[in-house]
Amino acid sequence: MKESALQIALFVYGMTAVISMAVALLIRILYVVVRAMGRRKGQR
Amino acid sequence: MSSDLFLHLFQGVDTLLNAEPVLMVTRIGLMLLGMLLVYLGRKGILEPLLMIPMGLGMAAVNAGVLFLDPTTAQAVTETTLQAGTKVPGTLFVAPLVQETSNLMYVLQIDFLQPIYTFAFSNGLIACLVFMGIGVLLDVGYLLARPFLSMVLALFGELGTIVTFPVAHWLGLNLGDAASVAMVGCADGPMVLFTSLMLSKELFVPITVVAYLYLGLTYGGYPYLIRFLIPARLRAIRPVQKKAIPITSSEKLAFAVVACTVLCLLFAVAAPSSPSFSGSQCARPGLNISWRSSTVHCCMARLSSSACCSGCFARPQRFSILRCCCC
Repeated sequence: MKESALQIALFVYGMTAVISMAVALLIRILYVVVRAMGRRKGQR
Repeated sequence: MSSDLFLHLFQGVDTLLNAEPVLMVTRIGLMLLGMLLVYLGRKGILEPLLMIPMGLGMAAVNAGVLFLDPTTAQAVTETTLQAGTKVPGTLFVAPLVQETSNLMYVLQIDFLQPIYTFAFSNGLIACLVFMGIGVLLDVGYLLARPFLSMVLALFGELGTIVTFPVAHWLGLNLGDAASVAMVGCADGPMVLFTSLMLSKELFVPITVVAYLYLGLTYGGYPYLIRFLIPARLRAIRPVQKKAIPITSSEKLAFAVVACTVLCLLFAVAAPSSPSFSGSQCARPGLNISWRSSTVHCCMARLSSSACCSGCFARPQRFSILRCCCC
């Protein structure tokens, strides 16, 4: 089945949106982990 | 006789007079447009960094057309020409040459060809752009507000997503449409790289239109905003949120993890990720002793690139390491 350009554009944009939000979540987790490690080091 | 001598001496005029009327008018028009772009760039109406060199190049490349000698003409056109055929061309760049022998010949003739071949064709320019962006960009805001940053980026990408089906609907094939659509969100070198990969025949028109668009957008942006957004909405002051402090160690951790994950996910774009992250590490905020030594940094990156598993897993490498330890 041959996809139309609109379908390709929507698929690419959907994938971009999902990946972007996943990356944002990853950044948030990484930020929390690095900050927690920094605090623990500071308490010592 | 004297007019022949005159035209032989001044080849730009010769090619102009011998061209078809449409081509002659177009060349003169582009020369004038180039001068106008320099003027508008100098006045600050358009982006000067972009428009002054572009205008100068546009005027020069349209003025400096000459009849190429038979060998150069054959290399540039990559066809067998009949004796006496006059091929107009310039000594700037021949972007469509593909065959190796012709490319080697043109590299010795056209003065911008080495930059084009060794920077644009292989994607080096994209890495250099990422290095520049990495040095200028502070990822602190992205780390502090990742979701907001990603939503802004998604809206930034909309230009490409909307243009792609429209370009295809207007008759371009998928590769051409994708190349044209890249103008909607990416910077100049990225557009050129995509065009080289997906639509080589449209490289020249896309280049001209992309840079004109990028330059003209700066000039038209304030008017466009006034036209699209009502005054009452423009008058709303943005809420100043409390700044979240991000330490340099957190930025370094982000650069390392982002580089590794991006390389893992998008191996085809792997050279650009370390270019960006490496420059992030060299930002003044990170007090790393080698940050002042660019050569040292590049050498370290080269040697680390040679440490791929395929090379490193050979037994000889361990012998060398043992010798070094001793």
